[in-house]
Amino acid sequence: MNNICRAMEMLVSVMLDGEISSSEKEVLFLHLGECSHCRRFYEEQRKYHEFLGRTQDDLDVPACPSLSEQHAKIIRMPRYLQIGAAVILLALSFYGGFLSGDKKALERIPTYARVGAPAVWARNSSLPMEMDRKQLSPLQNLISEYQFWIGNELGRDEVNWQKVRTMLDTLGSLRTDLELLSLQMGFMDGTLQKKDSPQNTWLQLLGVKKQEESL
Amino acid sequence: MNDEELMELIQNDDETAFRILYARWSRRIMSYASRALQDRREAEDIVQETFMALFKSRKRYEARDRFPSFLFTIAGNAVRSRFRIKRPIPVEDPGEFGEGLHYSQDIEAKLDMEEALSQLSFEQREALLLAVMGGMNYREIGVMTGSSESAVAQRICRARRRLYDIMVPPEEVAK
Ligand SMILES: [Zn+2]
Repeated sequence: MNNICRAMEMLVSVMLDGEISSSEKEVLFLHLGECSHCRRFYEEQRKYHEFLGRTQDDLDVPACPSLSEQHAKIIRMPRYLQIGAAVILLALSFYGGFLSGDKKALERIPTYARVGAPAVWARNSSLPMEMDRKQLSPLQNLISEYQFWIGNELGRDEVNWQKVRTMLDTLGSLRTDLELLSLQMGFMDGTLQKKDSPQNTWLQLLGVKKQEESL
Repeated sequence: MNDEELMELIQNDDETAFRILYARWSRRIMSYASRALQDRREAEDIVQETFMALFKSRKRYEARDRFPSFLFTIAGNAVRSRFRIKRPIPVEDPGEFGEGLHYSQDIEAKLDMEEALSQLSFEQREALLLAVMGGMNYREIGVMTGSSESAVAQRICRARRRLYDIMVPPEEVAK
């Protein structure tokens, strides 16, 4: 195929989209008159254009959402429902997949379920700096910081989902660690800790006061 | 009543007008989303999201805006964010590179048009469908996708070329 024909493909394309100028159109049809290759291309493209322009008729379209419901959901969602939405979001993300490693969980969350989450997370954990850190273990501190930043990100107009997903992922593992460590606690004999033993590190992470080393 | 007049009523929270507009456009939006994302279930979500977003942004609509472009801009953005969740790492428009790699071994079998469409890159399919189904012009598509008009024109042209390569067996073209 020569360069002229290649240029003609572009003209065919812009013509179908109604973006062609009258002089370009003239050039195009002059060429189509003498080039069977481009004529063939043009005829095919017209068929595709017509096909793609039609709406598929074998689709099951969902029912029309009700506006009054939408008002309730988006505009006048009561506080307890917002908290409910946040809880659902948390449940979905942690138990609906992250623990089992299924990262698709986040895709399934409908947009409106995000509404409550920033409100709750950003408010309830907006004070990671002011919180009395002594009451929280380092792991719990980390967890609430992650909650804060996720809530923050979800509250934006343009959510960076990649970032949210990474943070949720981390948050999920931190919580798993916390749960595992808490379980582990039950089996540990506190008197056997050595200075750098793994148990000791875990206990520190959990915020359990380091016991005086006994003889 | 035309779409623009219906939008005016919707701006005053008229639910009937909203339902009429939904009946008129939902199938087309679903068709667009289903083709762009290659997933019907997700397309259903997109329809709901699009019309909810349409209602939320009804005040931003001005009578001089072409309604289909307005609606498809919303739907297009919904599809884009859905695609980004599915494939968070942006995939470069493969452009010329790699074209023709998907020839069916069995050249005899003429591929179905929908099947051919599924073989385009997301970016190519998106631009082509927004132009053909949404009636959006290159400038509008460029604004949505963050590309120049000429980049949009080229992407669409390459999409068409690719469809042609898939649909028309090469030895037939040689004739
Ligand atoms: Zn030619």
